[in-house]
Amino acid sequence: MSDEHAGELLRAIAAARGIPLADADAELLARRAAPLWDEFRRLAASLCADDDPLAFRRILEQEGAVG
Amino acid sequence: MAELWELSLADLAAGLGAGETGVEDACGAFISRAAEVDERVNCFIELDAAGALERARELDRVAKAERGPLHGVPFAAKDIFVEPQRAPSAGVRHMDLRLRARGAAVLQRAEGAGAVSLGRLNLDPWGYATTGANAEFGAALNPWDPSHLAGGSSSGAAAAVAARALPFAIGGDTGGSVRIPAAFCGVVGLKPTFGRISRRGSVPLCYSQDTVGILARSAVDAALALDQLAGFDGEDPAAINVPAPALATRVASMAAAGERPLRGLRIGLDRVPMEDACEAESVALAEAALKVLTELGAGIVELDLTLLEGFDVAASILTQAESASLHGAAFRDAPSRYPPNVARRLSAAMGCLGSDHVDALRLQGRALRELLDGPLVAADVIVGPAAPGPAPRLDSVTDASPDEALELSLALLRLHRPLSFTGVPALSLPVGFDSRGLPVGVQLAARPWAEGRLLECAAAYQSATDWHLRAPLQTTDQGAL
Repeated sequence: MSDEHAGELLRAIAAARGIPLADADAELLARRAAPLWDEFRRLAASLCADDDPLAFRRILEQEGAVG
Repeated sequence: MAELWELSLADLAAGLGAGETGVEDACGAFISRAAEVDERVNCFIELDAAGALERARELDRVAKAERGPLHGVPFAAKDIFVEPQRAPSAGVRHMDLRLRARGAAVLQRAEGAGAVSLGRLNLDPWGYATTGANAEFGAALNPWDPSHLAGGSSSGAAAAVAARALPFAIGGDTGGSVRIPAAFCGVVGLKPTFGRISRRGSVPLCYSQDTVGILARSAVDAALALDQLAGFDGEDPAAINVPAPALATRVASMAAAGERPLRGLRIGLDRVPMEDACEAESVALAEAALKVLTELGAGIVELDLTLLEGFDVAASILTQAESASLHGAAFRDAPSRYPPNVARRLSAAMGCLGSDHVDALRLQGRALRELLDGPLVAADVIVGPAAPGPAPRLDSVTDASPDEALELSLALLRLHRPLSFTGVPALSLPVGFDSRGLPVGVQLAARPWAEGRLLECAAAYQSATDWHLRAPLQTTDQGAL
């Protein structure tokens, strides 16, 4: 997603939720957050379908059982 | 003869348990010290001297055989925990999150072990920053130099323990909020395994990472506190049913062990991010600490920890998504009630979609698996920096733009949040002072539930060094600070 579109999305979300967010602020936030989101999308794309959101807790339990 | 407030938690608890020291005497000494320290560093939101002394007098009437392991030991907690007659402030004047719990489990455990609460400790607003700056209650300051930050968000806890106003304190750590102020103030800060200490009755920030932690002067003291505060709580959704640790004796014996007590311990280290992220003096102190650890018998394993960078990104999204869930409605209704740096983060968080949250949770399990199958197979303990340098000056935040203040927080979070994301235990260990006399710390991490390994390593280090015995805000011969 381009910075421009990220700003639009943020503005739209803010407007839909009644949050006052100036256009300039939305653009600034989107521009600043863009590298984070790019990296997050790259990470998310590497997930397999069976990478389950409950696995974290299961692994902790397994580690606790091992002692 | 040492003042009572100068005693370590271990020595104080031994004297109180044996009846050699009266609880009212001990609490009175700490209350006086805490009041003096608080005037200098603003570590308390509320110092409850009357309540503490009333409980102290009750405890003085308890028979020796019925005394708990922390009988009469003063402590205080970051002001995020519910008490029966008092809602926590969470570091803001108008805390409007509703909580169902009528008491915090960790406070109940502390008091059940005989400890005496002296009050509530300062923090960053909502616990959502890492500097200790707080426009509403005033910043908690660094006792080694009050023109510098204490670090946060458990700012008051670290400042109070460092200044000997408390023998230990309870904090909360979502992305470094125990370990960062511990490093800046020169105390041990332990973030246990996710789910180790009950969070029931605490103000959340990020459900998937929030962890109750401990600040103490030494690893031995932290072990003593952990033994009493940890334990399965079926009413805490994050709790995992793992037996409570019994580490105090083990860790104390490590502190008293002979030559090379760390023989066979493999310490993993990635020098590249440490040298990239940290000031030269901090790197030199970390290297000196590693030398001590190798002299104690540990071996160094060179690691590539670049995977942690990705964990930080995912942790950031997870925190954004869950903090937006918590604060979204209130932020929408009254954004001006949030400090600028928090408002900026919450504004950005509004862009998180439900699918982003699920992706971050899926990445959390995979990150833990990758850490366990990679670096934590090659090494028993991972060592890294706890901060890029010593505590920055207060005006580096108060005179900074919201962006600059946020960037300072993010630089600290990058070192801690990846480990929070994976839920592993991590500990901030003071390793010396820079040329300005400010403390510097390193961070140790290990497999889930291996707090004992971290504390043993830290205790062995502290048996060979004396950084943890140095105290700021010493009294003069005339009794003034």
